[in-house]
Amino acid sequence: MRKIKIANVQKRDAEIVFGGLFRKPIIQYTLQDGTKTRNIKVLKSDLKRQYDALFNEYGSDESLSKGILEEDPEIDLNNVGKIIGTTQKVLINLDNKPVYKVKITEVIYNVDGSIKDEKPFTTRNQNILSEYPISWTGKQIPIDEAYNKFIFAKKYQLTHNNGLTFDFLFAMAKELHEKKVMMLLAAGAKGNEPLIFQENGRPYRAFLEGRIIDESYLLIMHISNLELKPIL
Amino acid sequence: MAREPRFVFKEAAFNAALVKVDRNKVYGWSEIKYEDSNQQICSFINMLDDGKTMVGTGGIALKSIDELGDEIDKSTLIAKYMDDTDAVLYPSVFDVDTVLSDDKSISDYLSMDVKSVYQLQFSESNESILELLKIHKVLYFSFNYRAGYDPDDAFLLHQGDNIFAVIGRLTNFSYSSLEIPSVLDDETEEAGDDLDFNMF
Repeated sequence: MRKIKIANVQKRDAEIVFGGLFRKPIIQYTLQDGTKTRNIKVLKSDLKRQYDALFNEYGSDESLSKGILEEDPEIDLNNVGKIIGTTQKVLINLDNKPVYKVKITEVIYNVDGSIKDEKPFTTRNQNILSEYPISWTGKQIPIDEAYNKFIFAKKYQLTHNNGLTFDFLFAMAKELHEKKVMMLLAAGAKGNEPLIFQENGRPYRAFLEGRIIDESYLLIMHISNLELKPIL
Repeated sequence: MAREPRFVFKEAAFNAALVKVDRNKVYGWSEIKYEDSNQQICSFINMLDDGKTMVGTGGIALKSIDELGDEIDKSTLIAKYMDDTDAVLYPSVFDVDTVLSDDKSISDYLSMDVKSVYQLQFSESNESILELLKIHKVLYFSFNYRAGYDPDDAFLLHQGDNIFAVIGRLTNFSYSSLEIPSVLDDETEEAGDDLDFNMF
């Protein structure tokens, strides 16, 4: 399980663990005789035999069509069907040559597709396990109002890793449970930044919900990057 | 005209088209642009493990093979549950009535990992279903966009006068006690875009 540093309303912080639950597949596909199959990746064609490269080689669609009928340039009989293992992502230029030094720019578009901003790309560091703990912002939203304001795409459960952090998290869950609210969480020195869970990951707003039954608790961190808004 | 699922709740029934709510349509989007020293646009390809074969989009196929390594026609495969019993094929929401139920609560809804969101588009008044959602808050149904063996969980809910279907998978979190902390899975997320999130 991954670690996160979180502070409570009194600004006391602790390193605890969090994670999600993933539903395991319930279906398997078999042959008629009950034996199992496996999936593999195979090569159809490499870059030199794909449309763009062949178009450049033949100069027009007409001559490429003719070439395909007469010479089969799109098929590499030695390699087509080859089982593919691990691959690596490589950057290439328009001449299909690998490049090693690139200028990276982030282009931001408006809803209508027009460019809003273009700026040099900067690395986003994760901020859930840094010098500054994830903190309670004090912005509480009643659960009855929050459920249809945001799309909570993913849920992570926070849980303790020792007796002290059990008390710490149980108290959080109890407070939220009794108030029937979600607490907006934030990161950064000023406690106003969205959460970034990994290097160059998406920034998310996070809301903490607490439930308790007797001496057990459930703390769920709901993460969202979308408000529930009409598009029609 | 788009196909419209028919939703049924007790005596009430209504038709509505499903229009996908995409984050890009609400906030816009961002892209990363790579340029070489000649200001030529660069793109990512896959390099095979031989270190020399480069493969672009569409250059790799996914195939199923049997124990002998022979290719299998996927249409001949049989779907089974993990206990080896035959799996049940559930129809698409476009082919049968979709039955709504009020046996799940906001807490259940909040325990769902969301895969997609649709806004419902009505050709007639949506007043009656709005009234139901104001009373029940959320109405649950099983969702298969296409016929399939493992339907998703889904909820109808409203925001103002608009009605949405939120599709995903319910998660069964367990409570943590002092003796028994919950066991959870790790996850890594793909790097993504960065946009302002003007919710407040």
